[in-house]
Amino acid sequence: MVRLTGHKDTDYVRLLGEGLELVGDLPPCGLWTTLTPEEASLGKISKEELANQRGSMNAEAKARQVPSEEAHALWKVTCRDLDRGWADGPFYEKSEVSAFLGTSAWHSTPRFAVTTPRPSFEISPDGSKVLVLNTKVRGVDDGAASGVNSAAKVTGRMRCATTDQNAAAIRLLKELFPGCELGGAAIDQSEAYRTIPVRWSERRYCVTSNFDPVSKRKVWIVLRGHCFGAVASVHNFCRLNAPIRSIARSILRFPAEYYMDDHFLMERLSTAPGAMYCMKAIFRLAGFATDDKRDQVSQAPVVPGVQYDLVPEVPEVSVPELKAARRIAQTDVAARANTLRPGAAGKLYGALLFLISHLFEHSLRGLLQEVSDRQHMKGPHNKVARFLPENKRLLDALLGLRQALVDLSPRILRPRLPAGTHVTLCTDGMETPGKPFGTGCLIRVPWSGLQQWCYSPVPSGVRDQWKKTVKCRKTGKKAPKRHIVNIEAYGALLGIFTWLRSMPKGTRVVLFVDSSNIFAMLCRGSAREKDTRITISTILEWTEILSLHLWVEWVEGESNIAGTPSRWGTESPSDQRKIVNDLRNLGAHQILVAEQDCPGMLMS
Amino acid sequence: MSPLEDQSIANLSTISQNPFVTSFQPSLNSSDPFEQRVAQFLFSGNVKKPEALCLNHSDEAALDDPSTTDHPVDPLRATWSGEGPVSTKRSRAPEIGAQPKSGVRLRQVPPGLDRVDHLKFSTEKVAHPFDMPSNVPEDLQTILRDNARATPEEVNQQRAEAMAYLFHRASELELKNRERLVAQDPRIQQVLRKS
Repeated sequence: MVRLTGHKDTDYVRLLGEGLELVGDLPPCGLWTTLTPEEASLGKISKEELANQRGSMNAEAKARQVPSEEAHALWKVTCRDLDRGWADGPFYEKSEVSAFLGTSAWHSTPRFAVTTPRPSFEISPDGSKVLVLNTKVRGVDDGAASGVNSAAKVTGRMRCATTDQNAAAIRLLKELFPGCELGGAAIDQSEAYRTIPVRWSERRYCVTSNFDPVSKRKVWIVLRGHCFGAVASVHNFCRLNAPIRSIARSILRFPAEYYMDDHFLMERLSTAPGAMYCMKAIFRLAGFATDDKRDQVSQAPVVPGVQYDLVPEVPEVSVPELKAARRIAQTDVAARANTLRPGAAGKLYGALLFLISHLFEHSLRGLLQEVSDRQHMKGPHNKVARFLPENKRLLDALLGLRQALVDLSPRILRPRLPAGTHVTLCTDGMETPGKPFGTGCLIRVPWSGLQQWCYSPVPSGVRDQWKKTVKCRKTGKKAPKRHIVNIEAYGALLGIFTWLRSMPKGTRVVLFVDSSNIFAMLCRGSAREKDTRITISTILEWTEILSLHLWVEWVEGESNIAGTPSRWGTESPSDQRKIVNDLRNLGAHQILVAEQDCPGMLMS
Repeated sequence: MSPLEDQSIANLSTISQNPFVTSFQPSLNSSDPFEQRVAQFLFSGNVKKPEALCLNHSDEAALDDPSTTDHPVDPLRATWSGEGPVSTKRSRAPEIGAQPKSGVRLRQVPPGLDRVDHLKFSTEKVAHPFDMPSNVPEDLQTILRDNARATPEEVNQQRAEAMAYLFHRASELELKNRERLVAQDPRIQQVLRKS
């Protein structure tokens, strides 16, 4: 059947029968972009190296088999694996594990608990909604500690659906089905990773070390399927989703997508329920179970943490209240305890990644990077759960993400407009020694014929906030700081502040800047230097407030028309007249920026 | 190989002509509650509000409008492409108004223009990426466009017939499937049987 759909990875069906590999080169499956050998091998070790590290890794895992606060919850999770037949054991002696596997060369992977807050709303006796905080404990096997992850070389860059893609598909749906009721359907696969068998020869990498709090003994189990925490699990599991999606698309012709174990689609409401049951049927025929409790057919489906409201004429993407509360609780737990284990960081990163790409756009990517860095932190710091002094940035990032979740507002997916309906804004900054810092902008609004330019020096109130000196990296000596990046950023803010405040909401703006740094900072939503960061944040805040669709493009300095007005203030009167005339010949007229209209007022 | 497997995937869209399908009584009479639910949704209960054809004549033209479609896509190829373009660089981000990361410099104005020409080009020939034609994967677009040309009833009917084919093939292959399962390593069977 998979072959019939034209799916490329037909070998997977055979591999399912034999079990999949956990370490070594995970073979390319033809589904995803192939990585170069250098990329695939980056930070990876060979099977032989893994075997050499076995002794030390196992000793380390053994040292973690001690009573802990989460031992009871973790043991309950482990017992559930055994009861459901997903693991062999329990083995209370190493020799028992060796006898079972037929080899003593097995690798022990410590299991740790990831406690996820599970808030829910309950109705109090007076009828008000009360947020109740429960927790859910997951057992995650530390593939990084056992070295199994280091030895798993993924040869392709995996791909799942993204919020970007879903939102783009919704815009297309609105165009294709004008006036129709739209709906979405989603299903969730049960016991996702566990259902993918591991090859017998690789089971020696599936030994999970635990502590039995009842008998107070060290204990091991051998998983039969894949575990949470192994790099290969994600790879091998996504290979299962792809052919199922191919069947759904090719034979049943519905727009199926997946994100890990969540499968979903969005189309007309009248056909969505049927499609959902077809999707469940495919899973059933393929021999995999789905969780009926998590089935969704809705006009506002929630797909991995993001809600797509398809009812209004202009659809919205948002985070459901409960989901936001959960993420806020997650950051609170970490911030209050001053603790974020790598596993928990990974979970938080995964949870936020799907929604952050769309909802937060530029502004919070830098903060999320801190969480990702914590997840992948290597060396002795990785073993320390608490934030270190040098990890203050992580704490700041968590608090920033929390605030963003609190302030989160839905993102509106406006319809497409014809070409030529965007505003063109060119901005520039100029730093001439001994002269005022000059900024200049030029705007062209095609639908109104507006074409203006302006010049403004950077106000002293803003300039005073900028660092005066900078420490030389080589010599360590302090030197006067150049401010061209700050001036360029201020120029962009000037342009937005001068003209775009009066533009209708949803205006499309193409902003041309000739500074690579500013381009990168506006894309990233952050800057390393605090003084520049203030300006960048102000630009992005105003973009949000004015609901602008800001698109930044880099342009060479010599092609940037705003380079002309930016030097107006530093030229002689005759040259100033020449600039005015040149720009007037282009149809652009000068406007004077009054002190009270200057963005400096905002920033100071 | 059965005659069905000899058929190309394109023929599956005309599966109603297949003898298997026309004789299929999916699960309305089935004792399996799951199949009954499938049948219920596929054949009767799902169309709550009868809708007219979603596209009138002018809308049909809109389907081929370059602003909503890149180009007419060969459904066969689109389906076979499987994954569509790999979006590691947020290629669909501009469409929803988000700027991809700074490493991706999507320049719409060619380099080397003087200031006047650059201004002219950027206002007259550049489109805001938010308004560009959809960059949704080709195979996904094809399905959505195909479905837009059919009524909900037709779409459901087509899917019901395809499901019928799948169930039929599953029952045909059940014995073979079981044989293959039994032939596997018993330690792998433990997982496959569980799932």
